[in-house]
Amino acid sequence: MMRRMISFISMILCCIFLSGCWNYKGLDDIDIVTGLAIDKDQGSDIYQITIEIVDTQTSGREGEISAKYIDAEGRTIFDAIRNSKKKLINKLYGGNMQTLIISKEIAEAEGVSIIIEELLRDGEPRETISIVISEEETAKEILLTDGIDSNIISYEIHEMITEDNKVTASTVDMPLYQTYNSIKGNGKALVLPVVRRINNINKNVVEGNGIALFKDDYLHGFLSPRDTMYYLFIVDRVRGGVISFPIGDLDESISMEIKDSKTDTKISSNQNKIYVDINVKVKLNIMEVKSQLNISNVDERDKLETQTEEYIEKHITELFEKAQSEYEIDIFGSGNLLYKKDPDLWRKIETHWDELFQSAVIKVKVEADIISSGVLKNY
Amino acid sequence: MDTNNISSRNLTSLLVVVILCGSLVNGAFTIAQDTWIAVLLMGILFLPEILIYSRICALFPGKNLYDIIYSIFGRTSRFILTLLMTLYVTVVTGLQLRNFVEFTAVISLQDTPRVVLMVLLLLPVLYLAKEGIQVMARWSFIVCAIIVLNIALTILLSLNIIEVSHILPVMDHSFLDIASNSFTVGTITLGELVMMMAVMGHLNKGESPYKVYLWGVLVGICLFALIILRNILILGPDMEEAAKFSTYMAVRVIDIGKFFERIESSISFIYVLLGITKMSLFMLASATGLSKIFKDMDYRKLLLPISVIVVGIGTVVFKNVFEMFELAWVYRYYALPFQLLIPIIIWIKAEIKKSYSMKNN
Repeated sequence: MMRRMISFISMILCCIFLSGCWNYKGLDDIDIVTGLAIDKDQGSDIYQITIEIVDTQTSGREGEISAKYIDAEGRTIFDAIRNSKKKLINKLYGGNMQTLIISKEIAEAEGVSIIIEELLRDGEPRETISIVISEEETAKEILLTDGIDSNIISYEIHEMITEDNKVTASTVDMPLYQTYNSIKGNGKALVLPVVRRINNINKNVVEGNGIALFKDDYLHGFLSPRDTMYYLFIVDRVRGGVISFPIGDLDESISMEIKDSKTDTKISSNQNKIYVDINVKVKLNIMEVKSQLNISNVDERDKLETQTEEYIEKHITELFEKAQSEYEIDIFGSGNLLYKKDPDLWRKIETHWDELFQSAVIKVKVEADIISSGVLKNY
Repeated sequence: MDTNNISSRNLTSLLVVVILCGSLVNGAFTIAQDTWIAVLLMGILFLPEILIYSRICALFPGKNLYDIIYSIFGRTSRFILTLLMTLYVTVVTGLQLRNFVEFTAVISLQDTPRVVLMVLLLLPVLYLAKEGIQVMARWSFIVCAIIVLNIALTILLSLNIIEVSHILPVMDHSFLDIASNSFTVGTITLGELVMMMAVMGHLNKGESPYKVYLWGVLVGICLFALIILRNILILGPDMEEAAKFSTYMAVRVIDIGKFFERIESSISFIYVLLGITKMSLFMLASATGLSKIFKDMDYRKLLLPISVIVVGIGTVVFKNVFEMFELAWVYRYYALPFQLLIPIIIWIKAEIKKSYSMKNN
């Protein structure tokens, strides 16, 4: 009986005294960081960051959740984040961070690898944060826009980007850990989504605007949203989207929704020439017919499928050739396909892979299947 | 013998738990996408060693390692051998404790002093060791079930974010590299099963130690390989190689919906369970050995002094996390005499003794 009393009391004491610890962080003691925008002052080599935190005072059951912004500066990014504490009562907590916005100046001048290394090394931010490049002058402007669905811009950007390949196929989603793989991987090429500020009924909002192309980890060029769809076709990241093109004569056109798409890319090398073989299988829904086409007729549908296939093939080939002649680097990461197939060959040719890529021969074959046309048989 | 009726199912789960606890050092691997091959190779490479352990236990059913040493060696050699094995297992417990505390400190509790974490972790370990092998075996069965469930869950939840091409190109590293990695992690994962011999004497009459060892190794290695495979497929080879604790990082990427969102705390939880079980087994083995030296003293009285020594060893064994991963590459040479040499000596002497007594009978 006595022993039971003693053990019970000691258990209660343990619960009381051991419930706090050195690393205790109360919720009222922390500021939850949702986004980070990184700029650099051109002359002085100092990073200027803008941190977006959740405003826990004005948010509540009645009001919407809103965000506050903090500016900070430092010699390195970690330095800048710590310096922000000079203005704050609470400590910053990065576990809920969703987005990182990097200005295009930093991406061009120094590369994104150093920023990524800092965020990966720090165990607090998650490896799934989205990294975007700002098309505007600074990254800060993107963070200070108004949100449409949510006041927290970082959440908006994150959701916009992650859902995009199922909806518009106009940009790409690169969480932090995949960015690391793309920089370090053999023959891989880094691409990051681009966002810009745009006017939407008298409010400034954020819009995704294609992708940024990188040589190693330095910014090399941009692709428009239209071209990005064909880029996504080549790297097999299309899960949705819209294909519209003119058919027939005059101003007739048709608009189709991509339901599903699968790309098989094979790469082979023969006497210093690279052959890339791309096979796309895409399933489509007809959504808008601005033409006299009778889509309940099988022959007309077959003809439409052939036209779609030719359209996609033409644009994929154009994009590939543009990458070869205008950008001059392997933006699709096809070197990685060669590495996975034949690592010894890759090690021999990797130093002049870009030259080999410029003279690569591409063969595209698209197979389009129209599986449905909405709820109408015919119009 | 205190008890002689632990079912082989419980002891097998104890073995699986000890093997999976070795997966904490998967940061020591240096081959990126071929790590799973190294894990499978590990099972094959260490099979002869495991068979030796099983044979020793099968030759002397109902006796633990120290009893076996006492029954076949003369006074001086049995004292030396028991002392060596006891010292080895004490040092290993200290290493394991420090390894685990480093994991906790790097991942979440960065400001807490290491000693505090070590002492707090040792309290349940001591309790479990004091309760004895039967409780420990039954407890490990539950832990094993939880782990299998957790691995299955994380694999199922990660199916939409894995990319199968991450394991290509297969076998890009030389066979020597892969074998070297297998050897290193194998001495931590499988080699430490030498201490299972200290409790194998409690196995049910009529159950074979071969069954326990071989089933345990099979299940343990398969689970370990599955864990590594999942990590590589989620993170990609370069990220998996760069991460210190790739299991933790891989599970952080998994997203299970809007309300619950993340399940990475389940990994810390699992590692705590694994760590406690392995350490209490080794503590028990160490105390049993020491009690044998002190003329069959009750091992429970020796647990507390051993735990103080273990904390001391844990504090000095390495300076920082870099040394922890470097130590893995040195440990394999340090452990070789205890994991291979001494068991071989015991085995050969046991075989000779057995055939001698059979001839006499």
